Amino acid sequence: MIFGTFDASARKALSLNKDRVFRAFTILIVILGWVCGIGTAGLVTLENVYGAWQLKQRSQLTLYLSTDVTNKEIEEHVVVLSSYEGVESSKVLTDVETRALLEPYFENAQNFPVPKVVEFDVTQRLNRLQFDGKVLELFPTAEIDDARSVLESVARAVRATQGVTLALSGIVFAIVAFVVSLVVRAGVRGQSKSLKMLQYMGASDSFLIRLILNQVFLRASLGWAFSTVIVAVTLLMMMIGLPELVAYMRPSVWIAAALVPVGLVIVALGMTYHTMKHMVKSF
Amino acid sequence: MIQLDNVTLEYGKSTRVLNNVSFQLESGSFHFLTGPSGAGKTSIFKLMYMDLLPSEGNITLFGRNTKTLDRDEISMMRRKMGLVFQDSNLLPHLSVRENVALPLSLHGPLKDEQTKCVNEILDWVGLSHRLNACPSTLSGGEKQRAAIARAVVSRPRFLIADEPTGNVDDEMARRIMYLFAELNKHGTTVLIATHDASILKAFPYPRLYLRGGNVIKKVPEQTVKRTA
Repeated sequence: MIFGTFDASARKALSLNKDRVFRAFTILIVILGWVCGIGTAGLVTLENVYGAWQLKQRSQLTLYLSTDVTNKEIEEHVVVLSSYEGVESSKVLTDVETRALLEPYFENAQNFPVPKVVEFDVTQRLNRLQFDGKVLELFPTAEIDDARSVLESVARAVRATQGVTLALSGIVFAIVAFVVSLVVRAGVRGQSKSLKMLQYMGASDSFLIRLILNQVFLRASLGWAFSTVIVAVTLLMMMIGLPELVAYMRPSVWIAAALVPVGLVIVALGMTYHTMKHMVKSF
Repeated sequence: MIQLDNVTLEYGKSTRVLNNVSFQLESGSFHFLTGPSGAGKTSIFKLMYMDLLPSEGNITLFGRNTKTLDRDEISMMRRKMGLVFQDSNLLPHLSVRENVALPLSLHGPLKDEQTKCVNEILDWVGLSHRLNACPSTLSGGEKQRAAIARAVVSRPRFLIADEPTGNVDDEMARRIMYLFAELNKHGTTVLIATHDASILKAFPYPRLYLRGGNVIKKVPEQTVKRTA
């Protein structure tokens, strides 16, 4: 054991296992560990999905040109614009393609002249300020659509979701800290005679604290192990039920889902130490 | 070795239990602490095992003033002492063997020789047949002998027993006293609180008589000589 090895008589003398609430502590850690694990997995998956979507959105840039721009002008200027560092490729949409694009939004898309549309695939290396300046120099009436406003609003929504999840995790951690404090207090008070006798025999504060820490560690670790298994099963079921998520369930999702509940064990141990440190001095 | 200098103990501001108590116990000595009920015998013991600190005066144990000890030092000091309480104070959820092994378990899992030592001590107090019994199934005498075994298993340098024969019959009281005498022969300093006249008569060790919060030392005519 990480807090030292103890003789059976010492473990039995001051054992929290007699306390009903402490016996249920493992189940509590399993449930809250599962909540935290799934929450974290969801958080990381969302980040992955958002990251991929954002990358896709940022890598596309569309120019809408007025109908009076000639195809020759477009051809010449697109060559100039394509020479910019960060422009991977470009494509001038045909009128048929543009009409197909517009059809869902305009019932009579076939009856009016369609704008010329040029799509660019770009990377982060593109200097947008210079590029946009050149576009407006070459096509003064051009409209540049780069999904920046959409990106911003989606980013806000994603961050808000992550914030709520983190707040929920915080609440879960607080519940664990509260329960541990309560259980240790009640358990040790219920065995004040044993604790006092151990002190009379020469048990030091650190010995008594380690004796209780060991028991909490064992229960919390057991709870963590069970919750990790249940989280893994839940994630596997999600992958089967929602195959589109598989691409985003990277190792980081699994690692985070397994590690965050470890935080519950750490919180439980920290709270036990804090509670015991004060309690042993009161006897 | 154990010295009390002008020790005063007050509970609150108005109740003075001990008043300028001074005495000294030599290493390897055997003393009785006598006096009427409520005279402060248990309070003196509590001061000795540092459950209480004196309101005034000093107590020196193994060369250290108890007032200057921190919590870890108190623990270390207590390991040199064996305590026997009037009501035995065995832990009810532990077997006799586990209760007796408890002082040794503070150092980690028991080694083979320590387990052997526990069995020997229990044999010495005549409880080798009750090793796995629950304290609730023991008679008063058996409980007290188990408590004595627990107090001496770590071979303490100083043994304090508070009315150890209070709950047992005369025959058992004598047997318990012989156990203490034997322990004293092996060099342990012994202090026993009792007001049992028959015990005091049968075992004429020096007495510390507590009256009105003060201690008067009495040495019986037939003082037992240590044969250690």
